[in-house]
Amino acid sequence: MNENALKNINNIPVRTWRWLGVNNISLDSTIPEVKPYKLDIIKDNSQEGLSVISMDKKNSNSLRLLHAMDYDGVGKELTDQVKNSYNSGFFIETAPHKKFEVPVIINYDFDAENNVVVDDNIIIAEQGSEITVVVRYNSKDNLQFFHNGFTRIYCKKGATVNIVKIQTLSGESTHLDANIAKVEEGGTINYVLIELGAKDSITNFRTDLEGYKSVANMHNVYIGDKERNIDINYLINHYGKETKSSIEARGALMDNSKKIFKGTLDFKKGASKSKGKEVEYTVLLSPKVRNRSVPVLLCTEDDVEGQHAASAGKIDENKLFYLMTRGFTEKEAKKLIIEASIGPIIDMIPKKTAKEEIYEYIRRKLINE
Amino acid sequence: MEKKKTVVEDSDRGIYDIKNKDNFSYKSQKGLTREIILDISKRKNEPEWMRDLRLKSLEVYNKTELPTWGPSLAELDMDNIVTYVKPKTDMKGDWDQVPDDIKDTFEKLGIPKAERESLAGVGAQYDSEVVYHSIKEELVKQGVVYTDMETAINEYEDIVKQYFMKLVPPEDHKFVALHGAVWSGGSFVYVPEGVDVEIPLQSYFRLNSPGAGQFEHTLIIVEKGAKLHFIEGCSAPKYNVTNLHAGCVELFVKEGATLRYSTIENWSKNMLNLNTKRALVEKNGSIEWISGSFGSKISMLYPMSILKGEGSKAEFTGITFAGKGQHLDTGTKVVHAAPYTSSTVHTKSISKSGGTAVYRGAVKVMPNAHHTKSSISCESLMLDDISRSDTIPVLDIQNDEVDIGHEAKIGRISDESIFYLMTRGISEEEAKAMIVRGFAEPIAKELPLEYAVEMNNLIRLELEGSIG
Repeated sequence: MNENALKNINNIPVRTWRWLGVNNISLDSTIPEVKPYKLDIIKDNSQEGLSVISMDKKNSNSLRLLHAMDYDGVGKELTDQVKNSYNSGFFIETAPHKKFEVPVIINYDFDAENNVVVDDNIIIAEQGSEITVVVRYNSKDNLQFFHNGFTRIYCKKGATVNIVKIQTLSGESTHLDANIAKVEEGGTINYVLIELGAKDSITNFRTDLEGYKSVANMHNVYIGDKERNIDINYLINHYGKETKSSIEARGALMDNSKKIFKGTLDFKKGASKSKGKEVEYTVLLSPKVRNRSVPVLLCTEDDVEGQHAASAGKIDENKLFYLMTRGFTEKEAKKLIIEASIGPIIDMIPKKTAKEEIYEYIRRKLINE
Repeated sequence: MEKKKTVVEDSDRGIYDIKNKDNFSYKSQKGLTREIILDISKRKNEPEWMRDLRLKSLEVYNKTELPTWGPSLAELDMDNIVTYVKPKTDMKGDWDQVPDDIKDTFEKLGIPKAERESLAGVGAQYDSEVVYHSIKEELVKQGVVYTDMETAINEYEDIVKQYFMKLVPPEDHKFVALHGAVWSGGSFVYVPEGVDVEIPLQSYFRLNSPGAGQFEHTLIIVEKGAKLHFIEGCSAPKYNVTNLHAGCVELFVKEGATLRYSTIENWSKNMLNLNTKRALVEKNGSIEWISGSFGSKISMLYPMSILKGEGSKAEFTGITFAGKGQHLDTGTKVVHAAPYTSSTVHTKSISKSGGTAVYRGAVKVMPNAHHTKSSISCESLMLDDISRSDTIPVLDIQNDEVDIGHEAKIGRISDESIFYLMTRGISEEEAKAMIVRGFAEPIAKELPLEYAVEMNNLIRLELEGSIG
């Protein structure tokens, strides 16, 4: 791979001043050689009417549909790497008009043997179906891991796709994750995106609301600690009439961590009566953090309502004081306040999958502060 | 249900479009060369350091790229821009001595009348040179200086040399470098310590010559504890060739001083307005920007406040109105570089008839700027579905003792509001016009009365047609 493949990546949809450093990001790390990934990610996800197979066993006919869903993701060379030399991936396809109550769980575990994951993932939700997919990128050892993923989601007429992505890689790792979704008439896509680990966590999500009354909801939690570098780039394109979107991001930054949150709502001409809303709340817990937010609204249609709000600051001192008068230490009080802020999003992780474990993980991070 | 849309026609800009015969005593060659710059400098009889600054700026200009963001500047062809047009008159201190055609234009724009009624001093620039400057006697006695830049270089060389292009260096971006090379005209204001200039000073910039550029430089120094309100107006008639405005405004607000800088910009719609404005605010000082952008074909204008002293403040209130064929990319930048600083940004933009209005902003909080407070709000109103409205703000926060909030909204006039007004017996058109005026009201009320009236007139002109 080109040694510049990690330079000027995760480009913002519209550029602005260079001195702010938000147009794109460059990483110092290098891309390792792709070698086989030997763990089974598919396991026992079989349900009637649901096909969950490994990417290398995919049916090439279904793939044709997805060619239109090409995009550069975090960077063109990175998505090309996934398309040309993936070493893992899943292919999920639902039967129409079926609700799958049990979530599909895909675990990408990283260990000394399997330290590189280049995954190509596809989800096709047929008409009127409903599915939840939980994808985890997790490492137990404190080694250096590399993840470069590309996920394509096709949400057909009236379908509902719930995607939960949880990233808890070691603090030495590189996490690059590109996602594109296309939503047809009456379809809904809900994202719950939990970014807790890695040294560099670079994510890109584009959602095209193509159909009439299609909906996208994105919920994101991030925690920055130590030297973490978080770069989040969300784009929702409103093409269809009466489409709706929401982006809600909540995070906490500690130590020397850095974060750039780029959230763009683009109301295309013809998307009349569409609505979009974006909010971001960041709690700052160290004087050395760097917190950048770029909430962009683009609009070429008058009959829409778009709004965004962002706020950042220290923990409310009154709240902190109150809890401390009740006998909590400052650390515990801070932990409680942050948990209360991000809790509603963590609670969206389906029961019995990873919820308790994620709460534990976050508590540990906050206490170590 | 198919919605009825009110057609808003583009309208005659009346007095702003008056063209005078292109009378000049000297006009530089088109384009930008070392010879042209040496020639301008020689004609102005400038000190060496200024000539060197011009030449250095030209070098920077030649090696600097065009911005990689914002509107396309493809149509700008520097080889076809005349950078220096000296009007057929010298600077006058008496209005009656200004040549009739020039006088007439400014009379129609209401400049001398405003001076008599509500200003402490007036400067008028026509093409590249200032043709008229006056200031009230009692201010002169208090040591206030208000003059054109050329005079300032001769009479106050030490002060000018100390500040000129120090806050906005030529390296900043391509058009500041261009400005540094070919600047001409503009105003110099010096308010000594503790002096409160109670009524505003105003400079008016008029570009009459077709295919020319205007590059005025405004330098204002408000000393410790002093106060000033400065108003800047700009306009030009419409020609079929591209005119360019690349002015530069440098404002130094010293300890405990207050400066309010108001602009109503109404360039014609063949103008590329690539202006740079910046204020440096010291301890407990305060800068207030009021900025109305109505004219020009393309604008890239982002007044910047650098809060360098503890407890300093910046306030930015702006309105942008983009009509047919206009791409107005405007906003503000604030850098919090000291503790206990605060900023407030409040902008409104309106787009119609295919116009593009962009709010582009940045608030940066440096690591040492603890206890910073900042609040930003942007509202955009789309009057039809062929226009465009974008909001591109950046927050960059580098410490945790801050309280920062940002909000933005985009949308159209709601049917409910129109319906409500119509139930009160107001026609649909008038209802819309009322709502637009109401939308702009928070800005209008920050302006001196005469300018609020001018702004309302501009809005009325823009909305004329079946609305209003």
